[in-house]
Amino acid sequence: MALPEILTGMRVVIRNVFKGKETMSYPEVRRQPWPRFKGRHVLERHPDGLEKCIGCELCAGACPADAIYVVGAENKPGARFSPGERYAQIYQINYLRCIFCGLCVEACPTEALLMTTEYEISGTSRDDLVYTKEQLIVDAPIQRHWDTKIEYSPDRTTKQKAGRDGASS
Amino acid sequence: MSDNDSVTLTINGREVAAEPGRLLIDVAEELGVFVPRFCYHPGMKPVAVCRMCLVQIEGQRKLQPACSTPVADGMVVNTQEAGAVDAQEGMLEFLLINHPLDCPICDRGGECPLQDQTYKHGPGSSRYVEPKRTYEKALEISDLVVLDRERCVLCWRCVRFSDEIAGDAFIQLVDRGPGTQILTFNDEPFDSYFSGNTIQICPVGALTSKPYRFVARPWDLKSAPSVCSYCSVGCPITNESRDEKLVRCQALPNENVNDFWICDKGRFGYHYVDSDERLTAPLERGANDEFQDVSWDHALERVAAKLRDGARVGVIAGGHLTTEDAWAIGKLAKNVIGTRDVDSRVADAGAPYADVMISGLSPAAGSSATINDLATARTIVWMGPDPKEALPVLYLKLRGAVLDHNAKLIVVSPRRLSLDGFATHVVRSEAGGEARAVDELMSSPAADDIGDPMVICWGPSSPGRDDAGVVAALGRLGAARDAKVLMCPPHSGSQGLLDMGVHPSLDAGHETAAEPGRDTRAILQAAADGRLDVLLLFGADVIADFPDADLAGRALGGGAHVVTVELFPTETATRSDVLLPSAAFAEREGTFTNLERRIQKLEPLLEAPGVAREPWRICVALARLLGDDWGWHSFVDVWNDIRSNVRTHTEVDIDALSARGPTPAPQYESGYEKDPSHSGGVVAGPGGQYPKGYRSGTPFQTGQNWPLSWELRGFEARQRPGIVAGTPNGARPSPSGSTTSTGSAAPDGESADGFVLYAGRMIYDEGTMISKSTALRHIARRPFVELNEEDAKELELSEGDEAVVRANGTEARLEVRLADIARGAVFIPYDQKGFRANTLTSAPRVTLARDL
Repeated sequence: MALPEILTGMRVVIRNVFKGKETMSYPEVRRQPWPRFKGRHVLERHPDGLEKCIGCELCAGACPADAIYVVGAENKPGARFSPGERYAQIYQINYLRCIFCGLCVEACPTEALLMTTEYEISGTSRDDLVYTKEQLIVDAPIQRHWDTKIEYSPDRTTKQKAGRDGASS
Repeated sequence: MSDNDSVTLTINGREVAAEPGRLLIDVAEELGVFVPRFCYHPGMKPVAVCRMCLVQIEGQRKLQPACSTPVADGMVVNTQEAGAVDAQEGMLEFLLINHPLDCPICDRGGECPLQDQTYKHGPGSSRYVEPKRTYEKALEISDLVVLDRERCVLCWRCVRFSDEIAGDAFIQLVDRGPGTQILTFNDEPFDSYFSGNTIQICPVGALTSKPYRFVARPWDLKSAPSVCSYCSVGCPITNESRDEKLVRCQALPNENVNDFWICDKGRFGYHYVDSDERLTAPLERGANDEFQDVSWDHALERVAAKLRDGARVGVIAGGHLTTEDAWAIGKLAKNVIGTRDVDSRVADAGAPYADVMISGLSPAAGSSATINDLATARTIVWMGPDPKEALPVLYLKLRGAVLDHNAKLIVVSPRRLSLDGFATHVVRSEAGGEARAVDELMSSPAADDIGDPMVICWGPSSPGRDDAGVVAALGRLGAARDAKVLMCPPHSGSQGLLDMGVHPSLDAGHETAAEPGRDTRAILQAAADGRLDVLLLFGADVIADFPDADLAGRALGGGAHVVTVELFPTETATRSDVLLPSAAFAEREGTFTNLERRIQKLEPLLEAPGVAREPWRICVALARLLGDDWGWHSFVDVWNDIRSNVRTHTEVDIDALSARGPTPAPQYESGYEKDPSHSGGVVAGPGGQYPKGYRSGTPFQTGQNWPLSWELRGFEARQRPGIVAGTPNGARPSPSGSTTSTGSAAPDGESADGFVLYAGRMIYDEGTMISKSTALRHIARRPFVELNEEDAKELELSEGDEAVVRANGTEARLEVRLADIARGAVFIPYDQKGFRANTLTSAPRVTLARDL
């Protein structure tokens, strides 16, 4: 008899009828990624405000996609950006090339380069997607294209009101 | 057993035959066994201070340094047994005790012998936990060199180089014990013309280059072998670029030319290639006397139109053109335009190069000796410019010949040269009396030291001096004992231009022309008199370089249509009617012929700016417009033509010019892979530890894309020796005492007033190319006039005074320097800050007066 099979199938159907929707109306409602999700990068600062990045280009050297471009320069007495002798005069990540593998973060000797969980990286021109140091530095606000009103935690158990920079926390 | 000229020894179980007296470290390297080292450098004497190369030799109680142990018959050497490996690991652990781990910001990081050898031979971890020794970081010890004493491993390489090779012992080990450090004396700057070499040989990042500081990491760089574009020594270099900009030049070794060294002008003078002032498109003088960008077709058609119909044309080529350009220019002038008025001597106008052949010194208008003949010579006669200023690496070779090979050096000069310090005999000639001094050499005390083999070095000393007489006298001196000559023209392309017949009385292959044409001075005179229709200038800045600035100025204003092929809008170029942009040396395939007539190849690295072209392509296009299609499209086409038309160059194999010789050391080509026997198959990389093979393809793991330090690459480019051009055989011009007068000023009569003027080049000046160097342009000195003390006394001048120097109605105020110079002679450097000596050099004599 096919009845047990039908009942098993109906059990699944009935359970899902009452489960609630998995889809959400992004971007007003969205879900945070898991904390170790590899999204766009930030360049950290030391507590005293100096940049952690020393412009050593190890991230660029490690990058398998050749997405990072760094030009170092020397800190001068009147213009100090980082501790030590060298800082990154130019720091660019091309998000059209980046494959979010995280090798750059691993290569970073000063833990200056970190990855956030931010995944909204889109643009209308190629130039927009080459992020400069000014965009990547940690105190630069993370730009979102749309306002998000509600944000769920990764496992979708808690709902919270989202600020504009909610994703970086 | 083995015979006398070979010993047999065993290295790591492999038997090898070697010449007795060779060092173990070299023999092992040729076998492919790399013994790690810091202090040992093949260009210098071994000192065995770093203790890194300790190896086990059977029968010896202790480990021996391979860098100072000569091979011996029956020696059994082991570099990989426990004792030797322990020593290597121990030494590296010791060296790293005080070495800061700031590799990420160190300019050496990525091509550092210490890094590479630590990965390869080091212990993997350190037991040292105490604080490291610290010093003030980044000490600028000169305008070019930055010293970081913390990184120093006290290998003495820089000290030995400065002392042994350059003879400028400005840098030294000071203090003792754990406080030993490298420093200059009393905070005096490291003002050596060769200081850049210490940067290149430093096995750590202790000495780094100021212009290159933090500009790039080694893995950013593209590089191509090339030849320095400044003087005629023609040192092989690598050009290295980042983002299509030339950022570094380093010496390539060639034991025939430069050993391992280049001068700071060659190393730091490259910025002109990327200068914003470069010409990028053809320009034509338009209606309002303003230049307009035009297309190549338009510009060339305009030039060709002027050249047609029996126009009277003069062609002057500058000294920095390649051999191919020279051949094309000569062919264009002589075969297509049909003029013999072609010359390549600008700053050295009137230099009697052809007389070197006519006087019988050499079968060609060039050297018959090679640079390395200096080392085997018994006697060297120097009769030329100050080599340290004009031909710096030749100075090193001369110094090595005298100090290491016991050659007797006789210097004939009216003023003190840098060679005087180690010369065997210094003959201070009278002002204007060099030829006589050469003639009297055999009856002077120096005669005892004249023996065979003898090399006579001659270079044009100063415009207006009696060089023809000097060459004739040298010819008489040389003829008596079959001496060889090393002829030293000034610029990188000078000899190539002579070889290719860009000379009024020589044809390509050093054939004497039946009807000599006009030389530079006569061409300019003709232009000034309105007797020329077109003046073609290929890289020749006649206003800045020709010894008579006034005549050059009048020539450009003489009504001739002036066409200039140039890198920059120089003063000459801005006064011409059509300006054609040229590609610079790093942007092109080509060859330079150096002063020993060695042909060496330039490989292109960059794109020429805008639509700039190689001068030979411009010649090809002009010839086509004038109805002669040469069918050249590439470097190879030009050389096929040269080889079939120039008798001295038929044998030149251009493939061999770029061929790489045997690369030693197959063992360490693979980079980082540690010997599996004691590394557990794990490779350490900056990102942490990964099993071997993981992430293969990224530079950290394979070493494939990773620039290894030169030590580990085995000085790879010992490879490109170049080819010495053939000499014409057969009809050798008969030696004769008579010389042709090639436009040099009349020898000075006794009755003439004033001082005999000597002008010469200093290494750093305000030349068109070097003045664009951000590193060097600040170093050019203030102009000065060198004067004998007695003469100064008579004129009531003293050191540091300002003197008014007058010649032919022009005058200049120059600082007086008292010097060891013949009475009645003064010396003025070219192109020092704000002063062009060629406003004065038009006359053979100048007058001096106190500035009132």
